[in-house]
Amino acid sequence: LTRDPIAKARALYLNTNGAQQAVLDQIEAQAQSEIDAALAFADACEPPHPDDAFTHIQTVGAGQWH
Amino acid sequence: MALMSYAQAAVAALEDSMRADNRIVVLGEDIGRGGIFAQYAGLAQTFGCDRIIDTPISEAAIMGAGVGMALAGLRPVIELRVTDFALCAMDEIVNQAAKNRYMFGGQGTVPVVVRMPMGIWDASAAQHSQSLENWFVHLPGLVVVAPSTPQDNYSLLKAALACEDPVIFLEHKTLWATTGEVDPNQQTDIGQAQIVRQGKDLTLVTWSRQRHICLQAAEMLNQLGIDVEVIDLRSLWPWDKQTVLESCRKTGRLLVVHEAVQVGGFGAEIVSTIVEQLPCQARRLGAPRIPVGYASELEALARVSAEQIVSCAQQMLTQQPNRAIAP
Repeated sequence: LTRDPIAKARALYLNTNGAQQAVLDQIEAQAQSEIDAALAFADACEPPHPDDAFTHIQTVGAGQWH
Repeated sequence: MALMSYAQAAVAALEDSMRADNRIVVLGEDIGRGGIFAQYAGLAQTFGCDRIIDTPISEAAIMGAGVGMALAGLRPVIELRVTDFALCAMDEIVNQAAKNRYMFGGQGTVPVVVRMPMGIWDASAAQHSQSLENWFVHLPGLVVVAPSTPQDNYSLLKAALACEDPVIFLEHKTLWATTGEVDPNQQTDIGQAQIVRQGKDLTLVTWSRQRHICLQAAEMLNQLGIDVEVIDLRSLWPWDKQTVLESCRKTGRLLVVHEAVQVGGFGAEIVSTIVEQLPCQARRLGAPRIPVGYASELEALARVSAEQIVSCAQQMLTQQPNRAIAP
């Protein structure tokens, strides 16, 4: 991960822009929290109904699958 | 009613729709000077460069910008010059425009009309002559329309501009100068075929320029005592199965004719659909699987002629009805 752009951006901000470590940590923690919440929501959901495969495809011609 | 060319009918439909709905904007190459086929003639002067937007030569960028504008609430018309050039924008068409509604549960819609002139135009060679309608018919999320007359170009372009789905709008390059009466009050729904000639012996199904070739063939066959019904599908997805089924029930014979390469063409889909539901003798006739040549002698080999249609129909009429024949 030496070329990881996120790690490189973090280092750049710390070295050149005077960003504070704590602020960057807070941004990361906030993003991780949003990801965790989205995963928890997805895990808690029922699997999609088979009908969902045939929904919201198009309005004109909807129902003509073959 | 007014006499218009196929190109003028497109201009009129766009102008009428743009006056009625200020969300309609147009993006594309050369449209500020009226389009390379005059299919946008005068619109820049009428609506200005905020709504008739001349773009750099990048089909991917034009299409991508159009998808974004549609998601943001506009109703863009995207001009891609020829179908062949649309291939540079396939990711934006296939993975963005066609999929957005589904992937966001109906929250995102992409009401764009993507105009891509199709087909063989004299001496335009292999990279400017293709008919690729079956590529787009294959893709869930897209509507595919191929008008063949000035009236249909007017009515179907207006229908496409009112559609909430991305519409692939295929105008044939040799039809721009074709003239005909246009009634601006005539509405045509997408998915509605037209029976352009009644007959009892054989059903000819076609679209776009081949409609006119099929009508020539039907007249030639009439001289031979063969009475042909000609159906112009006009929309390829959705397509009017009911009209084709009813005709084939009557005639017992189906011949689908298209300018596109026969192998893997939409004609095969129509033939399969009908013979799965009816006892019907059925064939398709398209171009050989060759690139369109520049030399007129080679170009001619990529066309489907009235004589070929007549020959194919005659072969079918010599067979027993209700039985498939080998190609």
